[in-house]
Amino acid sequence: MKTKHLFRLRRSAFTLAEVLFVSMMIAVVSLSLYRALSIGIQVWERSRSFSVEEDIMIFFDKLSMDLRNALQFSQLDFYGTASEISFPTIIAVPMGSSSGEVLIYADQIGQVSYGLDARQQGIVRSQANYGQALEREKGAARVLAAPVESLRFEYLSRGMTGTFERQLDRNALPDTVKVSVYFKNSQGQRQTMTRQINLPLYF
Amino acid sequence: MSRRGFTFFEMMVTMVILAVGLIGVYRAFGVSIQYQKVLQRRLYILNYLSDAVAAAESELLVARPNLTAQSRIAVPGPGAISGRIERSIESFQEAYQGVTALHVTLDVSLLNRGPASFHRTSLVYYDENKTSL
Repeated sequence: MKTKHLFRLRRSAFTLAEVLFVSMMIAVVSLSLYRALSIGIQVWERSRSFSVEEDIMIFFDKLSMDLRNALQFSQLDFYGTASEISFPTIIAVPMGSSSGEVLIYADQIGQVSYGLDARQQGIVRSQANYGQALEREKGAARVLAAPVESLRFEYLSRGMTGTFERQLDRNALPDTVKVSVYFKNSQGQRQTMTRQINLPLYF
Repeated sequence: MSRRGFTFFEMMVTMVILAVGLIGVYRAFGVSIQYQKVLQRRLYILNYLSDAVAAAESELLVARPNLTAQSRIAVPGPGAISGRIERSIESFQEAYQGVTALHVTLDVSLLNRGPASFHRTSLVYYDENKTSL
C-alpha cells in the first residue's frame, strides 16, 4: 500500500532536476527569441535608413545624365553657384491626350535646376519645359534625396595651360562639375559622397 | 478523451526543434545584416569608382600620357575600406584614331566576402600626336 502511494506521488510531479532543466531551456529559447526579434528590428531599421545613400547615387546619376546632355543655347543660361546649379539640357516631357492621360514622353530642350531645399532638408530637382524656361519659370521641385545636411558644387574648366582650374564665371558652361553631398548615415555618422562629372566637350 | 500529458522526452524533442528553428531565423537575420553592410560598402565603392574614372579622364588630358598606373586608396565611407587602384590606357581601334580606352580597376575587400575587383572602361578622345589643345 505504502509502495503504491509513493509510486503515485512520483508519477504526478516533476523532479527538481526536470524543472531546473526545463527552466533553463525556456530561458535559452526566450533569449534566442529576444535576440532574433531585436535583430529583426535592426534589419528593418537599416533597410529603411539605407535608402539615403541609394538616393544620393540616383541623384548623381540623374545629374550626370542631365550634364552630359547640357548644351550651349543663347536663350537659356547656365547658372552655377556653390549650392545650386541650373542649365539648359534635353528633358523628357510628357505628351498626353486632351483627357490628361500621359501617352508618350518626348525629348525637348528645357532647363533643369538642382539645389538643397532647406525646408525639406533634401536635394531637389526641378525641370522647366521650353516654354516655361523662356519665361524664366521653374517646374515643380521634386525631392531626390533626404535628409541631407549640405550640398556643394565646384566648377572646373581647362585653362590656357591645359590644366583644370576653378571656374569663376558663374554663367559659363564648365568642363567638369564636382558635387559633394554631406549627410548622416543610418548609424548617425557624418558621411560625404563626392562625384566628379565631366561634360563631353573635351572628353 | 485522454488525460495523459506530454512526456518529458516529447517536450525535449519539441524544445530542440524550436531551438533549431530559432537558430535558423537568427542566422537569417545575421546574414541579412551582413549582406546589407556589404551592399552599403559596394555602393560607396561604385561611387568612388565613377569618381575615379572621371578624375582619370581629366588627368589623362592634362598629364598626357603619364597617367599614374597604380596607387593605394582609401574609399571614404563607413568602416575603413582600403584597396588598390590600377589605371591603364590603350588605343581603342585603328579606325577610331584618337579614341583611347581608359581602364580603371579597383581591388578592395568586401568584409568577410573576401577581395573583390571592380572594373570600368571609359572611351576618351585623346590624340597622342596632338601636343597642344
